Amino acid sequence: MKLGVTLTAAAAGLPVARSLQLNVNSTDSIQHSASTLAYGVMDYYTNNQSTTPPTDVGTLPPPSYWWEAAAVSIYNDLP
Amino acid sequence: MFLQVWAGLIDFWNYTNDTRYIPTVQEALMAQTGPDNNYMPPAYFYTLGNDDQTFWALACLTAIECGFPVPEGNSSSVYLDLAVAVWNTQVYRWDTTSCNGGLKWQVFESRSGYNYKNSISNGGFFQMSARLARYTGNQTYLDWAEKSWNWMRDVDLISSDYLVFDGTNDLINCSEVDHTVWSYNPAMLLYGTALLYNYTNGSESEMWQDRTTGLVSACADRFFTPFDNATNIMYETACEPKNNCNNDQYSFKAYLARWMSKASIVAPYISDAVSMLLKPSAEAAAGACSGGADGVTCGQKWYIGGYDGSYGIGQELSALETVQSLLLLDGEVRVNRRYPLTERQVRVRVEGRPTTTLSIPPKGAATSAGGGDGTSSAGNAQTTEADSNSRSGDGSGGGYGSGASSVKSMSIYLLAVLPLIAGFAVSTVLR
Repeated sequence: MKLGVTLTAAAAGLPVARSLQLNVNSTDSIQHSASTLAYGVMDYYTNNQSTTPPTDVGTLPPPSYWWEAAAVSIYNDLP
Repeated sequence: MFLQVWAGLIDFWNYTNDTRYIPTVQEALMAQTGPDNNYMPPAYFYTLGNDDQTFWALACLTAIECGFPVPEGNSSSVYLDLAVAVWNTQVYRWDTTSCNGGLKWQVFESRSGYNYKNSISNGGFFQMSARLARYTGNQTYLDWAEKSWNWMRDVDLISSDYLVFDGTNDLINCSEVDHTVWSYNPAMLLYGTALLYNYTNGSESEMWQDRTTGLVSACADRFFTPFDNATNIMYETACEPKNNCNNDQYSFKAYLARWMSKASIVAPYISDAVSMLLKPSAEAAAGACSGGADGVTCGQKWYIGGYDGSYGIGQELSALETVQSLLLLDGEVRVNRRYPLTERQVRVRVEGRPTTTLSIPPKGAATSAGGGDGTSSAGNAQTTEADSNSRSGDGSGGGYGSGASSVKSMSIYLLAVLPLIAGFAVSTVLR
């Protein structure tokens, strides 16, 4: 299905998006994809600058740690 | 939630030998230890759940199980010391004033959620106890692992069919349960039961094996194959189809992949079944990581065949951990440390090739969407195996599973009785 979409887009002269191109039967491919994804995860982490307050190091910016809202709503559903 | 990121990156180093994030991970783990070196930083008291604190300890346990480097200037046992310190604060919080035990979700009384005893906090304590039991050989941790499992069963946070529900209200003595089923809850338990299967012997090991089998089977049934054309693709059942996952829930698939794959190393009889689930899931995840300006940003839903536009660190982590789990599962791949370490004096079985394999039949026509062969019916609670494949609702009200409620009533079977006592191709390792 993905290949079909890619070929169609290419045939129409449209830019073809990259994707991970993972081959689960190839160790190299898995490692390469994992590296790309690890980079992607770390891209979201910004609290390792020299200007980061010490209490923020190791944490993620909002809304990542604000999970009390959803959890409290579950809690409030209980009688 | 952010704490689970670091454990995933420790695994990334372990599985790929890529050292580039080591300093960042070390810095993160050391930055939040708090004044008492037990991951209780005052700046976060306002939001500190037992689960939050536990996640830091679990990252430390991952570090010691795979030999992740200790940052310079710290004792060589710093990660173990931190995990033990966390465990010590939590065992002290075991609350017998309601529900005959259990941990509250929140640490501090003023916090909303203080009266909620939930699976992630108690399951997290269970997994910590199991990992410490095996790593140190200390009986106290094993006793508490059993105690916390038994408590969760007693209040029905773990059902007899190995569904794990979200939590329960101690103001009503835990007489009712929130039946929402999140993937990270059974996943959290699964690594613990698999470790204890490996660490214990005889009938005790068989007991933990039954629980491991039950959890894997329930996960396979509940969190994979959302539709007939999305076979063995992982999804977060309680929120993805409804498009109402919150930030943390986007990441739960990461933990399911993580703990299923790690469980496979110490309980190799499940590894074929787990591979059969995680490989298609990884492929689907890769297909979903096709958005953004870079063309590789991960979306949330993996079963739609492309990028769904919902991006964030949870989505990215879910894809990373599912993809990288394949490196752990593949016995031919050289990783730093595949088999979790123990302290020198602890003996554990090391199973090479498993002599039996858990087989989970593919989900077939037994769907409530009605595309089936007509032999099963979502509404018929009297059937056994077919019923356990139905996916009506979220599991509340007894619409799931047969009433007989034993592991054997579920759609799994073992190819042979496991010869735990004799005739088993293993070696014991004295480390």
